Amino acid sequence: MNVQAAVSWRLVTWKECRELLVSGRFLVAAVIVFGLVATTVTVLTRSYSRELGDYGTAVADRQESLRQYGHLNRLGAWSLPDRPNPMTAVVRGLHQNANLESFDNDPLAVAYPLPDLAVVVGVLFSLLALLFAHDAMSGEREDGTLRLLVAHDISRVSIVVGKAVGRSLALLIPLVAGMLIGALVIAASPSLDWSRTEWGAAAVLAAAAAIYVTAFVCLGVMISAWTRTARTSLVVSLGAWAVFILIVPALSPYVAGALRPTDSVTQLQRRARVMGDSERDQLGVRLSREYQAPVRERHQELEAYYALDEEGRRAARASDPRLAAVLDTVRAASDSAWRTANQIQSEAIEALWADFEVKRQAQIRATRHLSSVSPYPAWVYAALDLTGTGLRAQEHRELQAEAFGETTFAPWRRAVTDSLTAIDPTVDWWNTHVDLSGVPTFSYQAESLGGRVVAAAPQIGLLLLFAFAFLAIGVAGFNGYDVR
Amino acid sequence: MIWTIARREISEALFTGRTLVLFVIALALLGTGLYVMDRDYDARRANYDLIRPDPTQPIAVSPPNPLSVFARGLDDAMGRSFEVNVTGVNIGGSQASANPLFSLFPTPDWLYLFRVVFALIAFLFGFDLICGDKERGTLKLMVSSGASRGAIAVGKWLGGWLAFLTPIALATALWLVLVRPVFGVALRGDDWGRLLAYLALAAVYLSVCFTVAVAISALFHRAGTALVAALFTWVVVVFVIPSFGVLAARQVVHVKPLALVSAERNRIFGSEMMKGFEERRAGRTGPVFQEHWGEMHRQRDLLSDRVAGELGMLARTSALLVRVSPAGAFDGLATRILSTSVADESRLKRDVRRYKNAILPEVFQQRSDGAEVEYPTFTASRASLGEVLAGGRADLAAIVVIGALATLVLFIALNRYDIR
Repeated sequence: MNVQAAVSWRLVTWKECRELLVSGRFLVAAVIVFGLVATTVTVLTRSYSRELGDYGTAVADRQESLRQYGHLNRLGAWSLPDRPNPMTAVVRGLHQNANLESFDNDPLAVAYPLPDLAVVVGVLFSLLALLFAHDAMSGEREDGTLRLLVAHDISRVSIVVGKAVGRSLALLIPLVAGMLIGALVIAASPSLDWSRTEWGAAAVLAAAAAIYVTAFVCLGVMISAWTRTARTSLVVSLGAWAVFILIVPALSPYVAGALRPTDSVTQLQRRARVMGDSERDQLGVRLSREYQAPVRERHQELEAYYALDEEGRRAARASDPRLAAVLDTVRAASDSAWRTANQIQSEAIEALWADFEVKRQAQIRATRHLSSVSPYPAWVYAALDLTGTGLRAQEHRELQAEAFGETTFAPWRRAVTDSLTAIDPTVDWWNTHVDLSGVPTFSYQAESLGGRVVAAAPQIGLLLLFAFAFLAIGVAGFNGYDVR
Repeated sequence: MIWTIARREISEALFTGRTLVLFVIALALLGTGLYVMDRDYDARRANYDLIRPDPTQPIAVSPPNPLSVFARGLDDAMGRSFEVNVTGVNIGGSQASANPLFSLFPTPDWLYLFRVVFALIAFLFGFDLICGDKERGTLKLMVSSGASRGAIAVGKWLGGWLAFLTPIALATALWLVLVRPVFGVALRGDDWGRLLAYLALAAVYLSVCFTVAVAISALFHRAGTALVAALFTWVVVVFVIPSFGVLAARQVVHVKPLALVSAERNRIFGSEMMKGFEERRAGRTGPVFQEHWGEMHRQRDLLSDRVAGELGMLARTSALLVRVSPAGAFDGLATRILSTSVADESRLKRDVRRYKNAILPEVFQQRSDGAEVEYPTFTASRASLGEVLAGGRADLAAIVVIGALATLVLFIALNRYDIR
């Protein structure tokens, strides 16, 4: 871009920005942005504080219960919920707290999920962006000022870029101000102690929001450059908004489900139960027969033993040490058969779930790909990755929990059962009360800022791509635009 | 005169192709929504066939509600399998999807289409109905030609309303005819009554949205300003009030956190089992644990009562606040009509507890002697349509009052209009 073009581009930007800043539209937008951002962050911060308090109570409650009523067979039921993620003060993500696996669930959490910044920015700011940009060309054409603008020595590219940048800046002013207010609310909250990671993630989130809003301004400018009247621009803009925000995200999981189907979880649970129960029994009985067969062939006297009743068998075993040794061999063969049956079925069940997981991941990927035709899901995924409230954080947590189970919990549990057995070898440790308040507690370490940014980068890149693509199509449209 | 003005509005809508475009959009959206939700219903039905208990299993499961095709609401949560055992009710199979991304975006059922998408179209159809004529100068001509301002208001509203609602009604009717032959959704007589009541409510709701838009149109002189105001109103009505109403209710009504409720249930279990073990160790014989299981159920039922009471209060407060918006009132009443609402979920859980307490002696007996028992089949009750409509009077009244207020604003604004 030469100096002349740069100057004209800036001139248009400044003109657009100044005009919007003194307009009624800006006032309405500023009120909406301030109000919604501040209210959302304030309410979510309050919710977080309450959840944190509840978490503290739950920890104390659990410790006391494990001390009073602890026994090993119920330890799973005492699992502690994770400490609330401090970033849920801005984005709730997949966190619903509906407790659907319990009888006492909260249906309202499902029926009315809490709104957060991902929704407020994603749904409402995109609409504001289109309202700011829809008449960029068509409105000026109707007013007759576009002719004057083109008559000056300003290239059409500069006009389109200047209008997009100017209108974006005008909308970003209240957005940034609203976010600063949100940051103040968070900084002032005594229960929210954000670390550098959280502040860094919030800064990248704000940048992603700015790119997202800019992409919609570019969409508005693009539509305006292809339509003749402001009214038509508006109708087309709202249609595009409805498709991008209301239709594509809602339909994409269903379309992905049809393209990349998975078995239902219930179906698999049933299948796994049958495999681990009746099928395992059938296999165990068959293998047991096979494993015992050589021993029974070698020791024909066993037939006479098995013909006896319970009492007779006990007497025969007690009186004949050789028979007892043979019976021990038979028992060892049977144990080995059942171990094998258990292992075969466990591996089959694992393979079943592994196959399901592959299909599930394929469906999730398909959902993400399909929904990527709209900037809204890209923004939502970026927001969830940055705040650690999405799928990636869930997977990250599962890996940590698995490692914790293997390296910390399992050794602790073995130590407890060993110590119980050492005191009394006949103890039924499964049903014996033990003070379990010392149970190691899993604490999730959220992903580093670098990891989150790397995860969100493709989505943010996609948003940039949308912005440039809309702008490029806008330039193409305006190059052939009849300004009369 | 009214009809003349209305006819002009209709012909203008027909001439500009707006009505045709809306019909095509409505046909596509309603058809897609129906197709998607029907597939979803079929999947849940297949799940239900898998988890449906045989008579020897003390399990309460309800089949998916065919009306959930039109408004899914809480039908997923209501399709869970409630397994009764000696220590309580466990949740077995569920209808939850394996794809967690479903929870990020709204369900594209008809409720969503009516409440959000068609409401937006209602605002777009109505925002320039009056101020568009003001801008063009044709309103002056109409007033000076002898038409009363009341007649102008009614005529324009009627014409615009017919041009807006007719294509949606036609598309809806077309898909309704095809519900059974194409999608195979089997609705009983009562279901049809509920569906028609739901669609009538949707028509009232969309009419109110349209009236609000026309009232806004009468308040402003420029279509551009009216549009901004209409969209702002739509955002507030559809998103802000329903979301923040529930949020505000949560700030006012404290519900015991569910993690603490689970902890309390575990504490009850631990305490009673502990007592049982101690009595056994002390040499007590007989059905020692049976007594403690019974006590466990009693205490857990009391806990569930408390939680249900708190959640009920939260639901009522939310409904009260959300009702300020016609979208909130529509959502609440529509899901109740189709039996997929929060109230229906609570009712189901009450039924499950009643069923559990009725079969508990057999469950204890079976656990003690291992003998096979045949349990009665669980049947969930459902509020009749008459009961739902009687209970939903407040929601309906809220929608109608907002419509009446909008009509009042329309008449006042038009009467105060200075034609010079």
